[in-house]
Amino acid sequence: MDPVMGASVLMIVLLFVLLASGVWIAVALVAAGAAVFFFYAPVDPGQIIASTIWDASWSWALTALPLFIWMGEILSRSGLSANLFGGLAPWLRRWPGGLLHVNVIGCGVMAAVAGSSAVTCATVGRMSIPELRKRGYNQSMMVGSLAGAGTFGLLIPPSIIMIVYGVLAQQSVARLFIAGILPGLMLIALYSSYIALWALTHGKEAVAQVDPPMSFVEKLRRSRDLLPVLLLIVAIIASIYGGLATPTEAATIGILGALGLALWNRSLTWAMFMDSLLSAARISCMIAFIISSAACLSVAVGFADIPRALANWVQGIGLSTYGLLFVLTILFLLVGCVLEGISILVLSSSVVLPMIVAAGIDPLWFGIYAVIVIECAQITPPVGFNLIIIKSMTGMGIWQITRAALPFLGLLLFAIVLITVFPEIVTFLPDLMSN
Amino acid sequence: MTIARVLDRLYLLCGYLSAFFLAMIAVLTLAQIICRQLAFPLETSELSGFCLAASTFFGLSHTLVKGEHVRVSLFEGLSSAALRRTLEMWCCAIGALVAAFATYNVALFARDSHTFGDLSPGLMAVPMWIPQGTLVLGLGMLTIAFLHQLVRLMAGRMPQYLDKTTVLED
Repeated sequence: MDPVMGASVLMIVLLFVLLASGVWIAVALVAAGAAVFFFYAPVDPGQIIASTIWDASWSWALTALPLFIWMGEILSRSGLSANLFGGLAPWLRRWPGGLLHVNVIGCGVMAAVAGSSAVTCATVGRMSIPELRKRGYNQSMMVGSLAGAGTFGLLIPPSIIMIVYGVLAQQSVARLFIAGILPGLMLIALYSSYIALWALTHGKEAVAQVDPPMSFVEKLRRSRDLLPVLLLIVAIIASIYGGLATPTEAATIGILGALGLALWNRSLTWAMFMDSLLSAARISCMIAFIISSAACLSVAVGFADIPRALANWVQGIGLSTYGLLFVLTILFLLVGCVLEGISILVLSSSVVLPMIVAAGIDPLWFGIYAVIVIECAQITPPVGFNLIIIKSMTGMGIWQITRAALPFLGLLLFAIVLITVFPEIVTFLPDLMSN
Repeated sequence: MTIARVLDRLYLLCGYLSAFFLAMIAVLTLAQIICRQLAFPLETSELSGFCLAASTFFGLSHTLVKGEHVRVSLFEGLSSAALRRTLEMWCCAIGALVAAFATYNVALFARDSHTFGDLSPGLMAVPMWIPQGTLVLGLGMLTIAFLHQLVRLMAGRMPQYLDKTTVLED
């Protein structure tokens, strides 16, 4: 067998067997990398894996990751999630579709703080589902908007998955953050318009109990724990956009802000502080470990010449840019059945990123594209991560939830088409930034 | 104190070390921001990188026993408990093998840095074997943690990373 082919087969079979049998992702990546080196590269696998693990584990761009995770852990323990519903509901009460919009906006806020769509979905759902049920909202819209909204928020900075992509693809994390803003806002607008349209056209089904009106001051009082969080997020984005701070520095200020907020609403205790720090250490350890491990596989795959062979093959069969994107979309959707967002990105990066560069696709644009596609995969039947989470929260059947999420999946796919046809939606803000 | 208790303490200690180095990244970055305001240049980004590496690798064993390393769970709903036990043992054995391989080679790598007197590229000129040593310690603890889980499984007990509701006995 031709060595490139042999190495590819070895890698795919090993990864498949190890991952399917439940071996930890990071462990499987190192094992596959070592095997490819051992059989197909004229170097000592031990030496090169040691230096690769080391090089990948102390990159400065990656230091923003644990800091933003810690900020999120502090904020989510400081009463943010408990106040999310109460703080948003008074403002959204009169919109057509009413408090269903809490799911959309709530997920937007929560996702800026939490790292993954699964966590976002679970946190927002735990609060909003009982409240919406009590008021008699349409079950299918309630669940569908939650499943859908849990996903797009990852575009809104500061986003953990963007930091991971930035490190993998060697793209500026600051520019990625900024690139996610417009697509993120666009999706919020799409979702909210859909909910409003639905409410206006489904008179009877859309009827729900309306909360009593509230004075402006009362509204402000209800959201007093929420507004500082919004201000904090806006300040972080603004300081990065204005070039005042690097993402790492902005995250540090974010931590101070989060601690200050917790102090102000009296949720800051020593136990809470340690709890948030240890929890952040575990999450960032898990992510950083798979990033270092993926670097091993990446280097091995490069040595075995797989990316170049694949890029040549893509050119050889005359696959257009759109054709390539289509194939990758299908691939991501398949992997999304069993894996969570960040893992999909890390796992596929070693092969996919060189192909993207060879095909002349802007890696910055592809980052946003990949995040939306990967998030689609979380609500695609038959198995999607967010679907399973909602199933465990509501006790509804998986197909029932899938059907409810379908219109929102359609909107996500529509957004993908939009950013493909008009890449400026992604590149406009970052381009402004560099000037 | 039994060996198992000592190990549990060690994993927790590693978890605290990981948390400490995470907090240090924030402290170092904050120091850099403050010094810049006072027009006193202080470059801490390299040290932050070393703290990140230390935080990640010290956290490995603690994160493992807390069950927070990601894996694909195709066989979670498998009915045969015996088959699931065997699969878990296979996973832990592979984990121990890979972790031991990484520990050994990173240790050799750090020893070479020490022998050649490699210094970090920044102004601080830290001997490279010191931050690299934190990787060796963390990976070594991960190896021990995998072996510990394997031993528990062979003795008919639950691995610590699975939650208490999982049943591995028929």
